[in-house]
Amino acid sequence: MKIKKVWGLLLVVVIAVALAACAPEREEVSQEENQSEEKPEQLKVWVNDEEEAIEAAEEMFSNYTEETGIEIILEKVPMPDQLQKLSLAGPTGDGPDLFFQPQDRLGDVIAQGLAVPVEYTEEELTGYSEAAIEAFTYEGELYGSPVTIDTYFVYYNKSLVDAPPETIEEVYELSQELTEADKDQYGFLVSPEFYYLYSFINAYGGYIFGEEDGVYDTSDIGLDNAGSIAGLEEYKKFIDEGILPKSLTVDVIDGLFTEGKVGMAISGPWNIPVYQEALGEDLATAPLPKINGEVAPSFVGVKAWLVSSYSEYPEWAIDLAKYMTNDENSQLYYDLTGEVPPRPEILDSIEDPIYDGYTAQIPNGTSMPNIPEMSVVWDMDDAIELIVNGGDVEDNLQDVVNNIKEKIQLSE
Amino acid sequence: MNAKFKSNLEVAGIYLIFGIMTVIIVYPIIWAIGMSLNSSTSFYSSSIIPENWSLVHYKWLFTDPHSDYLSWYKNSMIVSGATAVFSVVMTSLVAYAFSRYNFVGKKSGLYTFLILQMFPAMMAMVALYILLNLVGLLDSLTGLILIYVGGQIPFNAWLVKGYLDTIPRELDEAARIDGAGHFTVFLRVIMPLAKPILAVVALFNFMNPLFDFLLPSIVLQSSENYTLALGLFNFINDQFSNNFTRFAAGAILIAAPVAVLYLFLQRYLISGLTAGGTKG
Amino acid sequence: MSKHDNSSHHVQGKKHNPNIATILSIIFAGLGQLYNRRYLKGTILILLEVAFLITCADFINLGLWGISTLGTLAGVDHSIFLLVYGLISLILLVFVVIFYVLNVKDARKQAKLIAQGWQPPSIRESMKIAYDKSFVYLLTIPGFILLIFSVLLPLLFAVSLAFTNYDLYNSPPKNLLDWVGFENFAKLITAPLWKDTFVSVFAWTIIWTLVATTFQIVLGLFLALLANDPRVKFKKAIRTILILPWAVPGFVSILIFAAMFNNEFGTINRDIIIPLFGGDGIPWLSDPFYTRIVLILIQTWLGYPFVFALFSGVLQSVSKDWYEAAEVDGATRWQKFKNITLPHVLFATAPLLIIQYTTNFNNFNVIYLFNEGGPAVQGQNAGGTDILISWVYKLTFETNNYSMAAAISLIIGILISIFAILQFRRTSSFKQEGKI
Repeated sequence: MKIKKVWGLLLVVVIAVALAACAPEREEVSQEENQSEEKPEQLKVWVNDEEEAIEAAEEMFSNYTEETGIEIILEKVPMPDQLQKLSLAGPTGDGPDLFFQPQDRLGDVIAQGLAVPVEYTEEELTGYSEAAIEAFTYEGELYGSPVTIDTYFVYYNKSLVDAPPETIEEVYELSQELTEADKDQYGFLVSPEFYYLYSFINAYGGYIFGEEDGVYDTSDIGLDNAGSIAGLEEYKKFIDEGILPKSLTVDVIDGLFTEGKVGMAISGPWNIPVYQEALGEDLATAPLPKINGEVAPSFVGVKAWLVSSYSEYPEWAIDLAKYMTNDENSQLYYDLTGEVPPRPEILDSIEDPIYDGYTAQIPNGTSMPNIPEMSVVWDMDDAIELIVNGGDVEDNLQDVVNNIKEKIQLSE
Repeated sequence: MNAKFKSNLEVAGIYLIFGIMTVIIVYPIIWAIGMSLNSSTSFYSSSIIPENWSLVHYKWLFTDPHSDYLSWYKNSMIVSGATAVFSVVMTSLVAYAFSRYNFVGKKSGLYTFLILQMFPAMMAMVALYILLNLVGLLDSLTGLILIYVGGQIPFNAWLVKGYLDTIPRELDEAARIDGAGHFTVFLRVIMPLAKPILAVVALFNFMNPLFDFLLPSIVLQSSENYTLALGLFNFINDQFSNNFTRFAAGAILIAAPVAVLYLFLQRYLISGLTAGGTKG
Repeated sequence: MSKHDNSSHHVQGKKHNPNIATILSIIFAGLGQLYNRRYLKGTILILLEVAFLITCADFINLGLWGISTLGTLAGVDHSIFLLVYGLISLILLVFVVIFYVLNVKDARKQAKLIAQGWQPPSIRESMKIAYDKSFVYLLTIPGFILLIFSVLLPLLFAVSLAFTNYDLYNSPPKNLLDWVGFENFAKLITAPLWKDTFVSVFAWTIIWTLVATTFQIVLGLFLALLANDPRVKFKKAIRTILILPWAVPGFVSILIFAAMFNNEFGTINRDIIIPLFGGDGIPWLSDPFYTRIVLILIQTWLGYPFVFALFSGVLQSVSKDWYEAAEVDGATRWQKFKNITLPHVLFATAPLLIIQYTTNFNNFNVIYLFNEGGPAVQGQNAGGTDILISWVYKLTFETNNYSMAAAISLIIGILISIFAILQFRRTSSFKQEGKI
């Protein structure tokens, strides 16, 4: 009885005080004020936690400090963690001025208001390839300084394959010839993931979201249309024939390829140094083979520096971002990381033959939709897994598209 | 004769079971060691011990200028050590109160918190982030340690309380008659007797921070402040290029000392855990 | 000084009015105590309140305003931060109110006593009394405060989110959150996406919890029994090996197992199943049935050492007399086990075993790190081995629907705590607790 009274009293007091609380005084931050920004003493940059990228950044930063006197603080933050951290660290003032993200996360970035658009002059824009700028344009505004452009292409082992096959049909024949599954010997490997198999889907006319004037229509999903089905049927032939193992992962492909047991494999530029070290002179690259008689498209990923909306010196942050992606520094970045910058100037000057396949494939690339709805499209991986394990292509695609649509609806 | 034969057969059977268990336990561990010796980055390998094995990953961890492994190791030792020490202090105080005194909330205090901790709270870390930021302990090992120490109290205090309940109250009373104060009784009488369970608490709280990567990934920001588990997890937390082999090498270097620790604390572990867990 | 006070007290005693003391202490903590001529206590209380007002008043004001409005200026106010500030303020306020109530009660009680002619003890004595009375709080309060902030605050925050509209399209700092009451729960019941999958995921969660935990307990008990056999030698070495899985970080072992169980390239199929049984091996990762079996085996591997260590000790504590008595009665070994060992062991360790079950119910690491809840199942938006927690995790980060995830977490939490409370109550220790 008595205890109840005390609690009752407690409640009343707490509520009374809560109601009495009033809004704190805040200064409304107006963006216009910061027109003539002072030169900051230091800028903070979140660099992806990757050896070569850090090395490249360190060098650029020390040059930039020399030129401008601004000290740059480098923090290693793994790229996948950056958004969540930024949404917390930004408001507390611990956030960076620049952070690093791929374009498929741009939708999330903008929905949370984490980045500010950057201003580029026409002249500056011509330095970048169009695909890269497009990838970071959202509703007409450009949100980043593109650093790298990557896509997957064909690696082949010259000791097993003389010349890369031109068409997927030739790949099929080659694969039948070379594959001896019980000896772990394979003609052709591609990981059963939507990211890679989009080439098959798209070559036959499948697409992710319908698009009109650069605006995606999320109610129009083309991943269960006739083209998508035909594309995956084509892929499934390899599985059914037993010349493409079912439970592949990128790690298994890397392991087999570096042991010299694979004729050709589809993978991205991050493997150039790894494969080269293992195969040496035997390694060569080529663009993807033609699928459905057409040049095979591939997903292009662009990564860029974005200016945090919490940056106190957005203008200097942009300046630094532009500096890091100019021709000279892009060349430096390429030299150290082997990742190709989306700058035609540099793309043209790459002479290392190992990049042939890579640079040839880039023009055929299509950029991944950069809207937030993209995150549920990766459910396609589940459908592919089912198809690989014997599921019906059409059924599974229809099911997964229904799921995707439902999830999109739910998150709206 | 017959009975003896039967008995021998049984013992042989028991050893056989232990033998099978040993294989099941050791096989994955050997496999992990093999993986750490593989000079490429992929975990796939055609044989347990790779043909051209090398210590390149171990060398990288210790010598490469981009490797923060040693500072991670140091951080983990600080966090684990401090968590263990402060947990023992905090937990024994609380458990002593619950075991020997009457006060408001004694009846169901510990159980309430034990149950609260069963709630799955994925978003909860966000609150910890904001709290730590408010008190200026973000990206610091201190903040991490405080949260670990706080979070372990319910379970461990409950264990220790169970153990303390088995210590006869006559001992306290005798000491009290001799003029010992509250604190003296606690330090001189209770604590020495509670050593086994405190060793268990220390071990649990040394291990927990050592193996946890979720909380540090929210609280810690700069790479040189990372703990081992977080640093290692980042080796394989990438969409395209995971470094499983380096991860394995780093992991083995934590597991080995911990296994040794278990070896030495085994006696305490078993006796302490038993008495604490059974009477709680 | 205190002596002097005491002498004058006696005279004033009759005029001393408890109501005045009460009112004074309500007006400002410590005033009542001063009136009671407890100068030291009064001064300390006054100083405490002044210090509190100076340091925390602004923050509490901000927090309370924040939690009731969740911010008013989009882009400036950050709802998530305000929510946390608000919760912290509420916790502080509860502390303050408790402190205040105690202060008022203390002033009134002492004033009454003084009015009846009671002689207050000297400062020295009263400090001793205070120390005796509050010693237990000195022991518990530091731990309690840490607990409040490291356990209760995050939980309150997570629970609060279930009543907001926090999703990707409405996420701070760009947008403000609002309180939406039970809207998320209503959506949960009506949205087919959640409803359809929920049942199958829930069923597997229950099976997983029961089977995996029971396995690890049974294996732990079995091995403990064997290792406890007096005929066995090298006990120490055997125990060390058996505890080994506990010494390897869980996430490391799980990832290694994932590599070992790969259908075509893992060592299990290649080096064990195919050479022994032929065929193509077992589809560990692509058939939900087998994946579930592997998961249960892995969890058994990971979890039995704890149970083993626990039981090893308990078995040593079973009185030998009971067994001897049973032998006299001609009991078989199985009867001895069933009627003496098992009840003793289970009874003694019940609370710890319950915790094992509840931990596995939320065992995200194993499920997610092994195969990310996969393999996929046609027509279902959770993987074949997803348990509730891993499913919620995926939904949270795929659809970025944070408030919905919080709502589901809350439901899971309530279910599991009901289970735990019922089980704890059933075990004797809970009842004993009340008696002491």
